[in-house]
Amino acid sequence: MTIDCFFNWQDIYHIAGPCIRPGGPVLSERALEICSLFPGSRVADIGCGAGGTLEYLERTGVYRSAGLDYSEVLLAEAVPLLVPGRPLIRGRAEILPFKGGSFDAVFCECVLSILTNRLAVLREFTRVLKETGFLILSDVFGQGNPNCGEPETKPQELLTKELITKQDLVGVLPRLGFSLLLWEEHERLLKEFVARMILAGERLPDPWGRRQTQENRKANRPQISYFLLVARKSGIAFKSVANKGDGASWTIQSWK
Amino acid sequence: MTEMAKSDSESGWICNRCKVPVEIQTVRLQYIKTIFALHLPACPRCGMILIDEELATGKMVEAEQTLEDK
Repeated sequence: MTIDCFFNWQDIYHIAGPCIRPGGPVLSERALEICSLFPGSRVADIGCGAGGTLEYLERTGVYRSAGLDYSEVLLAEAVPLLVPGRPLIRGRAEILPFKGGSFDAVFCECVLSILTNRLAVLREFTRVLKETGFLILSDVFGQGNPNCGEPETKPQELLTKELITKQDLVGVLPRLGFSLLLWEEHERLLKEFVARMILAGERLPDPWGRRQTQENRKANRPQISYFLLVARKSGIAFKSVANKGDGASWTIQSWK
Repeated sequence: MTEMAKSDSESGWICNRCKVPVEIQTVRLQYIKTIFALHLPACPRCGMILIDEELATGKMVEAEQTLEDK
């Protein structure tokens, strides 16, 4: 079972603002530090909601962005934030209305966990990204049950689990042609976001709002955290090597 | 002296020190390093903020527990 993607995100938007996710634009900015995108790069924000990331990308003045979301209400909130004519499309992440190889980067922030067919979504991301394009994901994930071992998840099982796990996601990406560049955990940002919703009187859908209480530990419910992932298509990754005295230099390595 | 008193004003409270009705203002609450913005009744003159018992023992406790995993 997955979280209801028709949850009343508009109520959350009125509290959180255009970035309806932990950390706001902080993790988007962090991801762009990792990606070597050139001016004029085409960037898609899948699950763009009220346009927080699109607004951020637009303020940089560097990228050509497009947004897609299933909610007409949230897309309407995004319109005044962006320059007229910025593509805002109502659609589903499982069937992206874009040609293959259209984008240099795809953002999907705090969306994958509420979708039903996650594997189809990831395959669509693979399709619409150019070769060496970047995939930026951020979302809640389960930190697994420390009390028992978990078998390796088959790719199709990604769509049936309540929570994404690092093992599942990092395991499936190479099969889709991606190399992992960055995995960071930001539990504090999630807690702050949940606390903000509590103070505003809003309830997030379980398991987002689930706390790691004694009761949940006894019931072996996985602890919830928040990740930022950056991956690159085609199995090519870049690794920085610090060079004393001369600053950083870059070494290209193939990780296939 | 009780800081706030009930009145017939729109919000139902007046500042007992300043004798003026409280107004809903954006208040910043800080817990450790995190700042939250809330709309709470406050005196427009002296700045005294009213946090009712329900908020203090309810949402604020729950938010604290979330931040500390209690």
